[in-house]
Amino acid sequence: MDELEFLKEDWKRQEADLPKVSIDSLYRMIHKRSSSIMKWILYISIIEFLFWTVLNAFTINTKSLNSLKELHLYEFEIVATIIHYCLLIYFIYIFYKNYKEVQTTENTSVLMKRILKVRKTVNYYVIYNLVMAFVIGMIVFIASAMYSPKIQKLYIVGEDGSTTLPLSFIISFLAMFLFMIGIFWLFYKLLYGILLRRLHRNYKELNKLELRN
Amino acid sequence: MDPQLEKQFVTQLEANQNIVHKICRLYTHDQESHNDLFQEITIQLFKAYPKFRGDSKFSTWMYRVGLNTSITLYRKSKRSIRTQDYDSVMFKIASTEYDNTVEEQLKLMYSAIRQLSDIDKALVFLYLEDKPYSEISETLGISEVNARVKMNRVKGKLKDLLNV
Repeated sequence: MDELEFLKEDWKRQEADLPKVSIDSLYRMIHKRSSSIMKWILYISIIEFLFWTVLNAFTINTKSLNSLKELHLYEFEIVATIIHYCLLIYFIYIFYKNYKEVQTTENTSVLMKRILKVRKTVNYYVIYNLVMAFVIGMIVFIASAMYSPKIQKLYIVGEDGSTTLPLSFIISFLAMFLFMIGIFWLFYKLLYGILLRRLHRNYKELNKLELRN
Repeated sequence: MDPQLEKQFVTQLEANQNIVHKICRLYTHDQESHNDLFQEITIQLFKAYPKFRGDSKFSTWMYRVGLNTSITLYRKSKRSIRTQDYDSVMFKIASTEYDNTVEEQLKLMYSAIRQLSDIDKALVFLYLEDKPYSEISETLGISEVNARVKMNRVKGKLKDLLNV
């Protein structure tokens, strides 16, 4: 294309018009804080790890432990907590490892892949927490239905003498639970949707050709 | 970082700052974001500098970090609205020898390039900088064949944009 060749000539000529930043300003600049997408991902990820860990730590106190004993879930909770913290350490290790591998000196394709990998670790952590919240919620619900005196009062005695929980109670419990998880998921999608939209788009564009070959 | 190394870095950067400015011109639309991106690239270069071993030229290494920052790491501010003022300052047609039609055509070319995607801009930039396809492919992490294919498509896209 002739036009592009022509532009190339002009491109070289305009070097003289480029702005000049002084050595002093450059010195000042290199000590400023980066506001790159990687910084944001890092901060938000740390907040996420803290949020879920603190949430977990807060829900365990003497009162909740006593009520767990009442529900025959005490041992279950201890084991679940140990597994949870082991997994948390594992997630943080993978996160740190992936983060350290991000280098601007890699080629663009590899760099983007690595950034997405860093994000994925935290994605998995959040998904794990949401799934666990659901599973544990279900277990607590079933245990409460079996052992909690408060819920026992709600049972309806059927004609044949069998006892069941009112359907409306089960449905409203499930709906509330799913709604809460849904809100979390939505918030999460929105947060990273905005942050990573451009990166995803560029990554797809760059690798579209590679996949075809 | 050790002050000696820091001094060495700033000196090299100062001498090669044109590369960063040229990248900023393609990826930003106003003076403020130009300065913003310039600063971010400078920070990223500085962070990566201790690992720069000199097995490639300082300028080649700058291309890579600069483009990576623009394509991947830089968060465009929502406020950045393209201003006529910036265009005329930053894309001043270099030579006065041209007649009006040529100048008009060059202006159209620059504004067409501005409309390309981030990846396409990188290709055009390296092409304008006279880089061989081997270097373009290495910088972006795609095969040389694909770099050529993609460049041909960009040329087609530019042609389309110019003909509208």
